[in-house]
Amino acid sequence: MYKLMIVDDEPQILEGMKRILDWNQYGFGRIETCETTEEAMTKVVDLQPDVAIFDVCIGKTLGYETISRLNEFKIPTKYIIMSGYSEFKYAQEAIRCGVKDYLLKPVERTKLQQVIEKIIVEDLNGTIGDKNSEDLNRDPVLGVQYEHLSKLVNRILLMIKMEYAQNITLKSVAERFQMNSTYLGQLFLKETGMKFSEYLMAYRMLLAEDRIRSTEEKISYIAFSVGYNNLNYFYTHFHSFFGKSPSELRGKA
Amino acid sequence: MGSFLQIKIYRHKFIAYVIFVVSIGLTLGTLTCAMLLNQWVGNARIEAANAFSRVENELQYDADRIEAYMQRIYSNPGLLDDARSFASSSAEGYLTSRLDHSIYSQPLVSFPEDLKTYLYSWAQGEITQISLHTGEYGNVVRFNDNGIASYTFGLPNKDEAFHDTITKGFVYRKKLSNPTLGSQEFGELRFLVSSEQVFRSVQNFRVGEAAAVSAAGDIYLIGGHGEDLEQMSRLAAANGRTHGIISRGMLKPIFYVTFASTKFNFKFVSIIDLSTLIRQHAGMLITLFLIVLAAMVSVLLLIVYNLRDDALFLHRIIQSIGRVKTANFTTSRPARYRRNEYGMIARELDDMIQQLDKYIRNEYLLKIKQQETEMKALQNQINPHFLYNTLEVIRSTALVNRDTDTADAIATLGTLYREIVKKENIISIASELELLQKYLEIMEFKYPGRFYYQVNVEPALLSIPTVKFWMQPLAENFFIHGFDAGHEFNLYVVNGWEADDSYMLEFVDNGQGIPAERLNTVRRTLFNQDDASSGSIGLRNVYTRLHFFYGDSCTIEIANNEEAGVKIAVRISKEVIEHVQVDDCG
Repeated sequence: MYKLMIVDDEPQILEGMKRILDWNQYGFGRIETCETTEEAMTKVVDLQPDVAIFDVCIGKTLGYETISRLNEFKIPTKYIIMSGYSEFKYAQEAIRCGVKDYLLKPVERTKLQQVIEKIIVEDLNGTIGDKNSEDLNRDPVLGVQYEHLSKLVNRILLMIKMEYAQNITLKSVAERFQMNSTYLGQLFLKETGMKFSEYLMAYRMLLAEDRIRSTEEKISYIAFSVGYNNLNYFYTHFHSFFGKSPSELRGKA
Repeated sequence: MGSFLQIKIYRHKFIAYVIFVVSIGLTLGTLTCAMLLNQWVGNARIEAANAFSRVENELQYDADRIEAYMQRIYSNPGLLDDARSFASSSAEGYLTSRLDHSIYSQPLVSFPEDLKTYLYSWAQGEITQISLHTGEYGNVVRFNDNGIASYTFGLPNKDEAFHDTITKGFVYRKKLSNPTLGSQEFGELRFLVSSEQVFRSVQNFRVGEAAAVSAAGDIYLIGGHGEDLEQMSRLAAANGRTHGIISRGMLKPIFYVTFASTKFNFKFVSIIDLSTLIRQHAGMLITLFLIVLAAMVSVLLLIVYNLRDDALFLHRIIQSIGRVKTANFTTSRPARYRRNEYGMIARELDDMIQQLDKYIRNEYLLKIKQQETEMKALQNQINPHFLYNTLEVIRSTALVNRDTDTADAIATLGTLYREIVKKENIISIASELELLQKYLEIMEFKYPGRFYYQVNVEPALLSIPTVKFWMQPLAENFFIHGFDAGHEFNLYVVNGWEADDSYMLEFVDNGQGIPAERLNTVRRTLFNQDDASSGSIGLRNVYTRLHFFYGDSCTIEIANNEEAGVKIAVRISKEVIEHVQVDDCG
């Protein structure tokens, strides 16, 4: 369980920083905030947090000066500075007193995330939490979290999930985007590593497999329900995808 | 020296001068050598002629002496008697005959003694052998080098001692007859003038190698020795002409002179070897060579000096042009301009550079400075720390309210603004794409569920330097003209890839497209720099900046897609990138 401390003279920013990341997920069980330098000094010495985020200006004192004073106590805390100033001098001074990074306000979530992950792995010898619990947020075919895919691909995947039972094709999707279908197909392939048609088939096969296992519906009905009007195609595709026929799969179950 | 060799026209000129001077020098040197050689050969020929006339004189002198002695014999009966007695076949015979004829009242006259006393001393030792021949045999008086006489009696006429050859000497034959008895001939006197003695006098002359060749082909070598000389002398004597050249092997010509004697049937041959002649006068030739060389070098130095002066000036002009090409307008004016065309060009060029510099300063730098000042004023009006801190507070409030999208959008806006006001003007394509993406993210936030974008650029393009903030205006054009807020699938795609000789960037949307006549106007105004009145300022501004940065090899094409929307294709040639990348990317 890691300890985090945030120092800024704006109470709203403290509240925001508490919520900017899912700290709990990274293993930070305790988050302390303070608004003045003196309070921050005492709390750091008492609590010895693993990570402390300092604003560059707290009242009249400078964040990195506080840090260099704290450094004299040999406290193993890792510091991050956030700042509205992009002046080189501040960043230089901050780096000189050993801070991990100098982030510019408004702090970009992805950048803060990278710094925290780096500290956990390199300095605290921890691991980045296994996100198995978030299976819901993963695409079943690609095995990638949706938030790591672009909004465009997410939109196309959503279309597939809505319309797999109908006659959805790359062409019909491209028509809705008023885009050249080859062009759109290339964008999809580039990001997912799969052709649109391959993805559609794999998605339909996974759905069919699930329905075969979990229901007693006729295979022909299931084939139709995942968008196959031709049963022969379904059998061929199924066999080449799983290496066995649908009835074999059901027999096992 | 180096400066004018760099300039082609001077290099060619210099090479031409070098060839000209060297050939003139060589010709003059060769001609002088030939004249000198001719002179020397002539001198040698005169020496040889002198030597020959000396020989002839000697022979003439000896002949005169012999004539005089013959007179003496005939005028002195006692001597004639003794000579007749000397003709007897043996020494005893001579002594007996001599005593028989002796008259006590007169002193005994001795022919051999008389020969020695008069003839030998008159001829100064040149007559070395005198013989008196009767029908079958001859009696000989021979003088050695010290003038001691030795006598031999009764030698047959065929004896080796009487062999008439030039190697021994020249023989005068005089009949000895009895004046009282009706000119009855009783013997023949032969006087041998020694070749050795005759030609010894010639050795004071510098004739080099010389020889006497008799009609019989016998050779007496006067100076020098060896088979070569003999052979050459024979060749020269056989030649009809009195002087000429014998070529012995390659490039070894040999001059010769021949003189035919009027006294005896022999030819005097003088051989002048060219290599010997050159060796004798080596000092002279070397001096001549050095003089010619020094003359050539000094002429060349004079040429170099003249050329260098011009070339330096031309070099300076070229350098000035080069400097201006790299936008460096600091002129380096010389202390004085030359009063010729070069000077005029240099002066005009410097004036031109100065005018250009002034113009740029006035029209361009000043305006930029003004803009910078305005920008600075704008920046100072809003304390950046205040702005960013406020944005952070607003973002935090959104986070507290669990509005992540708003929070992220505010952060993006803050970063975008920060990037825009940053001072650097030249950034990498990667940074420029990041800027565009931030803008598109904000638009995505603005039109949730109705706008999508995709950036698909190959890594090869990311490090290319470019001017800041030209992609965003292109995207902005789409939101102004092509975007349909009612449409569910607005899409903006950026594609970038590396072609054979260029880098391509494509900005594709699926909006409403541009009507045909409007598209024509846009295309026309895009390339027409002067016309600023017409619309689509954004696109033209982008084109002008890219064109300014990359030069002519950057092109923009704008067209409607087949399905919907507009495609703007930007092509940057690789050739240009190499030049641009040298400049700072900061």
